[in-house]
Amino acid sequence: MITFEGVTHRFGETTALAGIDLTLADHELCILLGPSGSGKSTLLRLVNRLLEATAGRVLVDGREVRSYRPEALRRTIGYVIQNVGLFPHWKVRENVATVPRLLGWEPARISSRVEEVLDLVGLPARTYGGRYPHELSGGEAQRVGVARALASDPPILLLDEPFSAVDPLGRHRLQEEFLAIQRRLRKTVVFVTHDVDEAVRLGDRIALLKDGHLVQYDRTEVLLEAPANPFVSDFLGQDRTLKRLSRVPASALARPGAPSAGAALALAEDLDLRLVLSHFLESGTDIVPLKNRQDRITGWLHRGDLEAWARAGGSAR
Amino acid sequence: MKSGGWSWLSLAGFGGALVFLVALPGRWPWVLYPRATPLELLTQHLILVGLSSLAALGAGLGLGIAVTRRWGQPFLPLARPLASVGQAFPPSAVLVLMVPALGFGLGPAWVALSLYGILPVFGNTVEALLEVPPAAREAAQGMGFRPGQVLWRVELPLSRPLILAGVRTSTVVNVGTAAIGAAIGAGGLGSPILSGLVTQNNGYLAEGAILAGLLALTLDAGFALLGASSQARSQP
Repeated sequence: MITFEGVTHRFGETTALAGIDLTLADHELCILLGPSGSGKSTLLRLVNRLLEATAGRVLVDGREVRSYRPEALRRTIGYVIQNVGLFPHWKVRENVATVPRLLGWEPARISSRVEEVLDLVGLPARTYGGRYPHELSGGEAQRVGVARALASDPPILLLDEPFSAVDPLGRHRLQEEFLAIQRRLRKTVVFVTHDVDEAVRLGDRIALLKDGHLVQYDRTEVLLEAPANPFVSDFLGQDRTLKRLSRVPASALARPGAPSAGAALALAEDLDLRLVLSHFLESGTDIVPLKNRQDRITGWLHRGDLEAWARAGGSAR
Repeated sequence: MKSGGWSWLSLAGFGGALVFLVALPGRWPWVLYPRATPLELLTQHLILVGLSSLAALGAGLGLGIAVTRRWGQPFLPLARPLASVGQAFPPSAVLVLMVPALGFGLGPAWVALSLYGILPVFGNTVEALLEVPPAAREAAQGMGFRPGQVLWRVELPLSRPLILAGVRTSTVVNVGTAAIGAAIGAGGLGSPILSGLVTQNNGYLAEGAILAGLLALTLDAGFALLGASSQARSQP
């Protein structure tokens, strides 16, 4: 658990953070979202003491970060930055082994762990372990960056705009892969981004910051359904309803059995509702059967149900 | 690989010629400088160049590291002008200025050569350390390297090729400057040159000049090899 208590941070005259109170729960992926200059990166760097709070306290598992030696603290917290920061003179394998080596692990344990995390991010050590960073694509380099942060199996991961330098297609894949990894490992993740779509796609919770103030902190669904003020709703965008739909799989609103009128095309049940709506708009139909991965029909969806669900969010305000 | 091949070739060629000339003095004793054998002259020269280049490396590297640390940053703006002023200063002037300050002999020559050699090393060290990708430094810090480990494991290895180039310049220039050192009584390969100039004996002159030239070329080729091997390992 990461707790910020009345945290203020000033760079000279400018106040980057003004009295932030925030608690991040274990095993959740929390997004720090906001426009540039909102203080989100500053907040992240307070956790591993790359910056020190001017006032207030930052606690990890109830213990103040100030009470740790900075290096010792940082070795227990995974850290990924936008420009990756792989060491150009070290091979992929050596880069990934960085923290375990700092921690003084046995060589055998290090090499088996390196293979394990490289497998996890989809870059088999046999192929990629011996390469230098300049021999990797942008997406591959960032995967290595994630593997390096995971190498010592830290309970906490800090990611500072990790995917924003990657092209949109690659970014989407990295997000999906990261989400899959997070579902398996259930780390306590703090993830800084200015990209609303990324925030909505990944975040269990979102903390929205503006000018060093915390504007709203809630579960992602709640933030989309009930923005606290005009800034929040503007920042999240006019298509908040579509964004809400994008977080829900079709199976969540499925009716059991098969539809009475035999519609030809069935959609995968794990497709998100936003894509289902798109299908309704294109095809002009009101009913669509859903199938599982084995192509068996598992239920069906009515357009009216989807619209009712979307409207329900509006009334929750 | 290609440049590495040429360096090996020139190292063998120049080094071989140097050894050959030094090892066979008995053949033409009448043209040779009588007060010391070529081997003695070369040894004196090498000691002077070696000790002063080593001092220049230590001081240049240390100062370069210092002005790129957070506590040394205020001095960074001075670094570049200082380095270029040093290059513009003629080496003979540095040596001659030592005489009123420290007198004649090996000591003053050593001090002058060390001072003169610092600047190329210092300039390149600063340049190299400033070119280390900020992301690599930030990542190192964020993963829990101590400041010394960031320097030792990340910054210096990445700076190695450029620093080595500075040491190469410094050392090779020092071989030539050290020859002028004979004028203030430092001995070495400058002694026959000086003596040859005074007595109009071209044999003495050639002895010192050829050996000093071959020494400079040999060292240059040696550094080129070191540089090539460090580049191969840390392709940017």
